[in-house]
Amino acid sequence: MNQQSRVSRAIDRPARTALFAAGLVVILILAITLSLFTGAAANESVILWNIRAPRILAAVIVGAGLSVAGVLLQGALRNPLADPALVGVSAGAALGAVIGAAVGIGYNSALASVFAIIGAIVAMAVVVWIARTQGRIEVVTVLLGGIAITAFASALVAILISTSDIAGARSVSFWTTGSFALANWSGVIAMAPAVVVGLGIALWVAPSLNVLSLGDNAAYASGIEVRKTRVWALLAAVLLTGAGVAVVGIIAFVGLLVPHAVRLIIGPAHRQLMLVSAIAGALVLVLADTVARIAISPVELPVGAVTAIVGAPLFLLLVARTRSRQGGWA
Amino acid sequence: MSISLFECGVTTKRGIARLQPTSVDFVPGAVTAVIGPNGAGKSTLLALASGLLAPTHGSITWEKQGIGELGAIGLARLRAVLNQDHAVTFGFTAAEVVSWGRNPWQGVSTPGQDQAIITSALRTVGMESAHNRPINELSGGERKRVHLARIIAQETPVVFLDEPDSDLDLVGVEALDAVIDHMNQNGKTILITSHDLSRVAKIADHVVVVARQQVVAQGVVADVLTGSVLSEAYGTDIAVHWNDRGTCEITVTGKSVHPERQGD
Repeated sequence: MNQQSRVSRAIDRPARTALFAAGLVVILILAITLSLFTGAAANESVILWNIRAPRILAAVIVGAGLSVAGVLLQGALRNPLADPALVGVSAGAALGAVIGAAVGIGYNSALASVFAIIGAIVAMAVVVWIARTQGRIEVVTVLLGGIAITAFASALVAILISTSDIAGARSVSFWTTGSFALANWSGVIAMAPAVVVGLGIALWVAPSLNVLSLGDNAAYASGIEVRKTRVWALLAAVLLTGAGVAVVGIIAFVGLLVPHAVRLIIGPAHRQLMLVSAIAGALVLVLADTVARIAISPVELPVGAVTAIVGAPLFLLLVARTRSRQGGWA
Repeated sequence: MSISLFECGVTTKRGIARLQPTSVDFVPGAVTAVIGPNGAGKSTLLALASGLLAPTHGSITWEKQGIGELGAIGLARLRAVLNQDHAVTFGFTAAEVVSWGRNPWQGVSTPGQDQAIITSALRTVGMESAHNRPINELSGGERKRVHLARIIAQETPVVFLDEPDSDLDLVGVEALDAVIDHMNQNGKTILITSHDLSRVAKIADHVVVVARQQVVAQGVVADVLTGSVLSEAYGTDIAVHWNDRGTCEITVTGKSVHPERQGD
């Protein structure tokens, strides 16, 4: 009986994926509409078009980017607990953007995105380099490396901001908890190309990530260029994360939890997982930003605080579950 | 498909030899078993010959072509590898795992052909009922059979099997031997490691003996599976008795002269 239901469940997988994705799109459109017309001055087109629309679009792009980045990191590192913020990539990007500001590059610009992406690449390279032992990348070391990189990069961000006047409205807490309040049209335009390119690479590398689930040796024996696959996947994750962080700061847990939830419903095949996670991630951040905006209006909550309040307890549950399933850490 | 290792060896960065330089020719179309004590270098020899590990000395050729020139896809169309690590991250189904065996043939075979091959491979190993079940919900032996189906689906002329019998029960081993026999009758070259020497005597044509990080003997089964060769390789007295039905009984008669090796 149990096996029978499992079989019928799995046979329906493509249909279920399509249905779930379509449902998410409908809910996302509703959420965007709701967010657009919620709050003060809901009938002034200048506010809607110049302030709220780019802000919501930024939430869509960043949510999609972080979620697909999470899928890529989890697949490439064979680590179900990977997330751009947890592995230090987001903090590296924040540091890159702040260094950019220190040398005179304005926020919400394409050059700021470039600096953030370079910061993210450096952070990613350091974490992977540290976690490599005998060609294997260790789960625990990736997360520990991420903690160290995040602490180091955040400290440099704090020092740069407190010793100069580069911050503008972007305080230390803006970078560590994230906010869509400063996202405008030029910010959206600055981050969109990197996210589009990152998404393209992600979808291209997805079938190889499936085979990588076998482990490096068996994947290579099946014809996968393991090193190349991993480098492209990590580069895509960095593109999907870095440019967004430059505009909205660090938002944790979205890249971790969205892929997990989606995987439970549609299964682990990477290409479908990326597409549906992108929609789900966009929805999560549009909703989180709406809550951040109106919960205790007129004061705004940092959106990263909203995602962390929900995400951190879920992360703990996930850690406990993964640990008990593996019988300890691998 | 002839595979030759010439003066081929592996030394780690710290200077520890995982395999001393050695020359081995694997006979095309034959079943060759690589045997020896734990930690002797069997898996290293298999990893070298299959291209999973690059040698630090010597060279490896496949049909007179250097193994490095073949590329990941080229090599994956020539050989499949069943290794000892059966963990699969995330909840992929048995059929999805088997479908990865078709990866090297993308653009060559159609999705319809692939589906037929996947279903047939799962049937061959007796796991067709697990088609849509997540592989991580299966037992160790069942997972091994799914991976064996993946190797079958790869449809290569050479197959490497690193301790394929280790997690299998009695029936599983019988089924495995039938699969190996079937592959061999289809002209495939098979390289296998195993600790079950009586089974090796039954299924193999040739044997390579590895001990203390070097190849100590190689040749046809009857020449190599002898008391003196095995006693020397395993460091204890071993008696080999071939009975009338052509099966082989192997018994340890002496005490180990390498007591430190008993723990592994």
